[in-house]
Order: sequence, then structure tokens, then C-alpha cells
Amino acid sequence: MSDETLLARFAKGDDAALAELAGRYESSLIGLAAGLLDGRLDLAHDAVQESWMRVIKYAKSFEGRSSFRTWMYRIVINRCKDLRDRRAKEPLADESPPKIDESPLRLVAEHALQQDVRAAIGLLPPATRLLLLLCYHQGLTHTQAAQVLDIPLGTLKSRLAAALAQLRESLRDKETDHDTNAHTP
Amino acid sequence: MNASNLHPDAIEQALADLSKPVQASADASVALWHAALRASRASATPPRRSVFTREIRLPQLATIAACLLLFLLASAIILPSLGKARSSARVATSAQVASDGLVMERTSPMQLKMMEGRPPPASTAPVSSPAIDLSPAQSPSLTPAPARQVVHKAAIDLRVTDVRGTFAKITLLPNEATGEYIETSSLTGEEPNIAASLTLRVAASRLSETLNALRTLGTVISESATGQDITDTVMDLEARLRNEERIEREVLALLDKRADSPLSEVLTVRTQLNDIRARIEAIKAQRERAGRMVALATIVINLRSQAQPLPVAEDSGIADYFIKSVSDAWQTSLRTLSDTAAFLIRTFLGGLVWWLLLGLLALGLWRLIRRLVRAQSREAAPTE
Repeated sequence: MSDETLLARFAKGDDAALAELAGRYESSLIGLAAGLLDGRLDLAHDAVQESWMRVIKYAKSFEGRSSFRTWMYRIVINRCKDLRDRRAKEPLADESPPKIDESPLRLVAEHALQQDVRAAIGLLPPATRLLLLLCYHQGLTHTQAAQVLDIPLGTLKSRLAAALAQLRESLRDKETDHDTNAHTP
Repeated sequence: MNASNLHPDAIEQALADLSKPVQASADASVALWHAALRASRASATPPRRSVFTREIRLPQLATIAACLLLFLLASAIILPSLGKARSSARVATSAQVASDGLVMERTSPMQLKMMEGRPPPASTAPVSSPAIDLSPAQSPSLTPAPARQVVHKAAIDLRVTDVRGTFAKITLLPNEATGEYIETSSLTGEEPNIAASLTLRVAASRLSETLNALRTLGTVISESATGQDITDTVMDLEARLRNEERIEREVLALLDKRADSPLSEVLTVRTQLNDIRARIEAIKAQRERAGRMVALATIVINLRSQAQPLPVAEDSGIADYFIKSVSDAWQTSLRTLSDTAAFLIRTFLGGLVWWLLLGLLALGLWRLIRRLVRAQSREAAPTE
């Protein structure tokens, strides 16, 4: 059964349809949200939950101009942007969320490159970061990522090449710094 | 990190790992979608259809209404009162002028002298300022119509057969008994290149009559007439005079009350009194000068012999024409610039209060709209 059919069924009152949609997308969406929110799983959960609330609220007004997947990803991306903006205005003084990359378990588990990539990608402009994460997100093809970003596929590919070059450059600089520091007595 | 880590595949894998799926919870009761569903149903409200019905609440509506009401009240109260104040100032000035015997055309010292023993005929009433004469017989009720004070000037160029004879005739035109006189006169050259020039000051009411008489003396080459309205100047002088006189009375009263004050203080007050009186005299002199200008029109007459050829403009070349055109354009552009600057200053300073009010209103509206837009962006249905 297609996503759109499930959404229509949910709009008519079938909660099981929503559960089915969640089963298809929720884990992917949390992963993407975590990537967009610097690995903050707590914020990723908030973003995805708020996104579901919007899906629930506007399910009846969904007109099918795009696929459900595109719509859902756009909602999650916008929620993540809102959360980042909100957090930028309200510093997290009292919150002590478990950051994935600060967790001892993850530090042990994660490869060094992944940490470097996470650090390097955090320095990129938000649009570039979003492009990279979407393009390498397991739930999306490049065509679907282009639809989510509402840009032509060719544009996405050229921007992706540029973004990757930027990321590699950043990583290479980091590596050079690393080697220099290692050789310094 | 070593060089092998920078292999494209490794980077892409690391990128994919950054957003790899994360299981929220296998338990449906704690799954995010389930929590969202419960939260949505708990706070279920009917969808609002309009941004305005959704966001503008009672306090905001009351604020907007209060702003609009304030603006309308200000417009309704201030504008008419300004107009009324202006009108009443004019009426008061006219009435004051009439009651105090300060009508320019009739009571300036020079005019008193010229009118002495000879009541003006009905036809000699000032034609230039019909509302000036506010005698009860002619104007039983005061009207807000401003008493116009107009300075008339005219110029006429004549070609005559006998310059000397015409010159003599013209010198007889002013009626000295009514204060008219010849301001300047000159007769230059020899026949046939003789030319004459005169400046007559005749009663404003006789300007038309005098010009008609002049036209019969020869061939009119050119003629022009101007009227300069100095009502505002006169009203300003009157107001300043009343103010200075009131200050003088107050200072005198102060001097009377403090007769036993120290000498130095008395001297200071007297010095100020002297200054006030000097200002009063200066204003009275200006007022009388303005009265003379209004009462007597100026006619500049140029006489030229019929035999004398008219000056012919030199046949200038294209260079002269170009220079003249550029000069004219320069002058015109400067005048336009001046007019524009004056307009801007008048608009900005004259409407300063309204600009401020409008600015505040615009600021309030802008903030409201910004709040609405933010709320809309938060609440609007996500784009598909």
C-alpha cells in the first residue's frame, strides 16, 4: 500500500495507517534529524515528534502535489531548522542532553574518520550540510533528495560535487594540522 | 586519521553513518508517532481558517482600534482647530485693525495727511483690498475672509510724437492733494533721440484710471502689471506689535509694583523697557511702510520718440544662442532645485507631527505583521 493511501486512511481515522507510515520512516527520520542537529538524539526525537504532530494536523489537507516521503522529509528538515534557531537564541544552560559523540560508548564505537567528518561537516554552511546529509542518507535516492530540496537533479549533483570537495579540503587541512602537531616535539 | 581514511568511499560511508537510521522504540506506546498522536488529540482544536482570525486576539484588536481611533480623533480635532485658529487670527487681526484705526490704507500718518479735510469719494475705495474696509456700515458682521493687502506695480512703454509735451502731461496726472506724487523722473537726450522716464505713485484705487490716461498719450509698446500680496507680512507685524505692547504694559506694571526695588534692578527693567519700545517703534515703522506700499501703486513709464528707432536685438550667432540657452537652463534648473528643496522642507517640517504619528503607526503595524508572519510560518501547513 502506498504512503499516500496510508495517509488518506489515517485522515479518515485509521490510526494503524499512521503506525504503518511510522514504521516505514521514523527511524530514518530520527537518523537524519540527528545528523542535522549535530548528533543530538534528544533534539532529533523532539523534531520528529513535532513533525508527526504536523502530519497528523495537516493530513486531511495533504493534496498529493508531492509524494508523502518528500513532504515528510521537508517537515522534518524545517523542524530541525526551527530547533536549531530556537536553541541558538536560548542557550542550553540547564539542559544536559546526551550528545552522541560525547557518549563514551559512542566514542569507543565510532571510527575516528566519522568524528572528523562530523566535526568538518559542522563547520560547513547549513545548506551544504543539509545537502550532504540528504544525499548520503540511506532513506533517499539523489532524485528524492532533489525533490526534497526542490531543486533539479543536475543542480543537486553539481552542488554535491562542490560540497564534497569542500569537505575533503576541510578534512585535508585537519589532517595536515594533525600531522604538524604530531611531529612537533 | 591517516591518508587512507580520506578515500572517497570512506568519507561517503562516514557521511552515511551520520544520518543512519536510529530506532526510536519498538514499543508502540512510547514511539514518537504515538506520542504525537496523543498530544495532538489532547490539544485538538478546530483548524483556524484565516491568519487574522487565528492570530489577532482581543488585546491586539483593541490596540489597533485604539490607534485608529486616536489617529481619527487627532485628525478630527487638530485639523479643524488649526484652520479655525488661522481664520480667527485673520478675523482678529482685521477686527483689531478696524477697531484700533489701524487700517493701512486709511490711517497711516501719511494717508491721514493726504486725506485730511477731504473724505474719500466712494470710487476711491481701495480696489485692491475689498475686505480691508471693515466699517460697520459696510461690513456689519465679521467674516473670516482675510483682508488682502496687495502692492500694485505697473510698467508701460510708450512711443509718442512729442516726448517733452507728454512728459509734462504725465507730471500732471498725480493728484498731490490725495498724497500721490512723482517718485522719479528723467528726461534725457536731444531730439529726435529724446527719451523720458517717470515713476508715479498714485492711489491704488486710481491705478486703472491712470493707466487708461497714459494709454491715450501715445502708442503702447509694452505694458505689464503685478500685484504682490503682503497680507501675511502685515498680519505678522500686527501680531508682533500687539505682543510687544503687551510686554511693555507688563513691564510697566512690574515697574510700578516694585517701586521700592534696588536701583540696579529698576535700571535693568528700564533698559529692557527701552529695548521693547525700540522694537515697537521699528514695527510701527515697518507697518507704515507696508501701508504706504499698499495705498499707493507704482507706475513706471518709459517714453520714447516716434522718430527714434526701436533698439533692435543684435543678430547673435549660434554660439551666443547656445550660451543664452545654457544660461537659461542653468537658471531654470536652479529655480527648480530651490523649489524642490523648499517643497521638501515644507513637507517634512510642516508635517512633522503627522510623520511621527504615521511612523509610530507604521512601526506598530510592522511589528504586528512580523508577529503574524512568524506565527504563520510556525503554524501554516507544510509545503508539499
